[in-house]
Amino acid sequence: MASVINLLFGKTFDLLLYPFQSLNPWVGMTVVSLVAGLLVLAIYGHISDQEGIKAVKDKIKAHLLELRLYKDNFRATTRAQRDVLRYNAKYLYCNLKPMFVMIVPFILIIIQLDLWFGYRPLSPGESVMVKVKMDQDPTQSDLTLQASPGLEIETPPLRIESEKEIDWRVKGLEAGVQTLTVSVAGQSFTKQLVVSGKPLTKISQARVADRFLDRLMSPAEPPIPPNVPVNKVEILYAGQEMSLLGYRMHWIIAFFILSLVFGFGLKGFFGVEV
Amino acid sequence: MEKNRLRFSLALLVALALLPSPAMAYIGPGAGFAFVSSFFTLFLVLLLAVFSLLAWPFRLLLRTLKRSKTRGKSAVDKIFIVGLDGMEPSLADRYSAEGKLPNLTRLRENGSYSKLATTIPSISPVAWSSFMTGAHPGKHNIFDFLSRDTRTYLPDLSSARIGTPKRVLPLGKYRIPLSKPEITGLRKSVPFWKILGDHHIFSTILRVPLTFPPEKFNGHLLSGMCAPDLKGSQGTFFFYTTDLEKVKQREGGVMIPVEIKDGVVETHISGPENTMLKKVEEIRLPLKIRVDKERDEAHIDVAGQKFTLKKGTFSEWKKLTFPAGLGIGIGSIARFHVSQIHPHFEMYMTPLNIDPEKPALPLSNPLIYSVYLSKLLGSYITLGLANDTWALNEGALSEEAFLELTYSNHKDWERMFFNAIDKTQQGVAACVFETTDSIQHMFFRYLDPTHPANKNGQHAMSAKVIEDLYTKMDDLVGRVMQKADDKTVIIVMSDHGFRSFRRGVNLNSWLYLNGYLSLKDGKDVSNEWFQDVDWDKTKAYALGLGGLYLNQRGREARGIVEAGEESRALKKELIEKMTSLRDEEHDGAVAITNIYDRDDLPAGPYLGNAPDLVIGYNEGYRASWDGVKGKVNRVVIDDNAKAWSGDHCIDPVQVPGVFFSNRKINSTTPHIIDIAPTVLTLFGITPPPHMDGRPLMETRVGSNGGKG
Repeated sequence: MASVINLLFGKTFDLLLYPFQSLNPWVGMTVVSLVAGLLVLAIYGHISDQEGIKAVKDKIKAHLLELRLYKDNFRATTRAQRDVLRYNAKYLYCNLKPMFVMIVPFILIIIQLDLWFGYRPLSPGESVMVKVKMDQDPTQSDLTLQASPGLEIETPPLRIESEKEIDWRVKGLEAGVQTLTVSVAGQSFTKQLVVSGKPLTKISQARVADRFLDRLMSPAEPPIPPNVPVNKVEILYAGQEMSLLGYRMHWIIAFFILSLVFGFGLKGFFGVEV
Repeated sequence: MEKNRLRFSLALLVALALLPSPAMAYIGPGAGFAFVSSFFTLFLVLLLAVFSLLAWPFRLLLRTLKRSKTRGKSAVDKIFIVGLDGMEPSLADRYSAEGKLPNLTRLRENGSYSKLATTIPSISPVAWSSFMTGAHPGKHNIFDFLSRDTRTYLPDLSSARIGTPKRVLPLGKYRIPLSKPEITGLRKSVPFWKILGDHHIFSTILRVPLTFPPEKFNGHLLSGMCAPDLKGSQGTFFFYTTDLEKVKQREGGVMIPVEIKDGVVETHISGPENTMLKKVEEIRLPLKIRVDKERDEAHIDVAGQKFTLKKGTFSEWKKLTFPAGLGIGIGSIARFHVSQIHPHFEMYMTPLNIDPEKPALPLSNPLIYSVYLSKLLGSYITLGLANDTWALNEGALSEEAFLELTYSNHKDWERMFFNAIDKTQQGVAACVFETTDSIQHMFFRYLDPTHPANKNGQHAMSAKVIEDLYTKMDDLVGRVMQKADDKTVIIVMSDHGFRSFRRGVNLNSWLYLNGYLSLKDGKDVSNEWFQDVDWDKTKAYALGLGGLYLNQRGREARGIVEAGEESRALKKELIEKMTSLRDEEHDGAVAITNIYDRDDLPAGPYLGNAPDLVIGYNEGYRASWDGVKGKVNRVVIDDNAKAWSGDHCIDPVQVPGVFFSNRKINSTTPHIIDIAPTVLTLFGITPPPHMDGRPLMETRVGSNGGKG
């Protein structure tokens, strides 16, 4: 199930963002926000009580107008204020159902966007921590880590028994998608590590064991093979922020604002009441 | 680290999803807007609440200072005026005696009841103008629905003139308006609510005729009778039919022949003229109807809306926006009614009402008041002549459908009125319900078994329609009485009464046959609006519901009658001859009982615009349908076979209105012009000298309880 979802969402976002990899990340973010805005408008338009929302919004507007129309009538204005608050609560209630329905696809969208916008690839010569989380005592394990020629393992493994964790520091030497190979109990699997890259690069921060929620949260690489005593291999990439006219912001804020703007701009065109 | 941040964010998001507002910010534009809007609303309300609380003492002080002149003199806190257009005293008496009007009877017994003298002529726009100004027509300039253009002899609306914007910017094929269209109200003098407003007494005035365009004053007003539809007319309905037999020119509406192809009708809605184009053309909206004969329903697709109508049902108000170009849309609302699916498809659509939420023309004072009512109560009819009497007259609506539509409008007006009553702390809440007028116009024949209209057309109902109407109005009055306290005066009134309209008199034909009106050579009839009249040989002509004009030299473009003695002599001659007019088909009955010479009417600066003679028809008679529209033929008096079977455009002495109040009055002969000075006096304001009426009530608080 998780594989199907990840495949569907992963391929969709790959297709969507592939043409914009070489461009400023804002271009890709704008396109994604537009598509997300349209998608959500379509879903919202279908699952929400459009007439109910319009009726409640009209009531809010009416009572706001009352504040203006009856400004000399203290009783009317206090009643109007009460009614605005009452209908505002109703408005929020009207949005509960679409909110709960949309939260699932939107979490999946946000996970995908985090792959593209959440992290910065290593620069050549830059080092990063690599963590392997095991489900057994790491001091008793024969686990080893090997790097492809474009990487250099700078430190011997640091085994932290209490965390069931083994850490290395790895340096990126050459640009490209490099590979780390983890060998344990006679089996091997790889974890990709991105050095340099285009302005918009998909980065898998972790490869995880085949558990449903973990797979959904780390969808870019296949699961760690079964019967391997490793839960997760994680690379602690530096976070990436969007920059606009010198102002830096988390990508989710940019996404929120842009999708809101597109949603607002297009709701009339699609006849959706929000 | 970063992954943990994301996880935390997502976990937070899920957790917040259990709370309505903040989570929405994270799940896209739809719910994000909910959060943003709610937050904005809360912020705005809190801001306004704080501002309102802080400003309140100052406002109170200011209001107290401004009202210092009338403080202490006011005998009442509130006046509720229920205007029941056309309520007939003899019917009120009858139903009251039968115990069917308990609330009006209570007013009558504990307060006062009287016939209310009406204006000359007894026509709603004239009478309600006198109601609001306290003056005779010579001072307010309204003498009929129609006035005439002395240059062309064509009719003009007497109430308002809608012009074009003064400044436009030519841009390609467009003429972009840079100013609003000029709308000039033609009713003169000052309504009482303006005077109250000047004394800081707040009024809410709903649907009173002749309040379009709405005038600025300290209060709220929603325009009534004479407010136009989107096409600029006084109400043009639409009737779509596959029955070509029914397609003919209809009064008050347009018949649109349609064809069903593969179960689908493809047609259009004719909208307003696009004055933004250099070459003005009508804007049309495509209308697609899928006819389902098996289910007896129609699926309608118009202006991006799809809805299904079962046979015999009305749609809700549908918003129809007509694109004028450059992204500008002209908003209207309309309701649809499918009257028949097979063998013929027939669908009625109401006139295109100006959308009160986005009014193309101002409908209220302040402008946002119509918007407010629309947001609060939903879309509502804005057309002045709201109830579609012509659609019933012309068979586009059945009697049942007409009543359903009429009472639906009435219900909206009641909701507006009670909203106004609830908001009135001190001042006037007044509403005119034209329901009484419309239903009596169309169903009066059921009270008159010999009415010609009963011989043909629709007559599936009974006199119970009128009885139900009166009991419903009594119930309305009862609910208003429940809202009154000891310092509330209730006035229930009508502008005129009602009589059966059996026979139509074409005065233009009479003038022609008696040598006062001439037709062009070779013609023995004239089409409407005097098309074939030879003005160079015509001495007099009739226009509108009760007006007769001399073709006076120097006033009319091709006048031949000299002002002064010749005019006076001609009027005298006409009065003598026309009051002798007998209906030979009806035992020589008198058709005209009184003719009022303009020179004998109460003076006023606009009396010169009145008809030279105002015709007072006898009971049972009225200006004929042809005569009203300036048609000339050889038939002077004929049967009125239309459903429109009751009328009041007769001798005013025969159709007084009603006056009920929870207070005693000091007159046995109250007149409609007395209402305005009464209201002013009750609030401690001396009526201005231009008012002809006199106060009907003592200024001291009466002993009668507000509950009547």
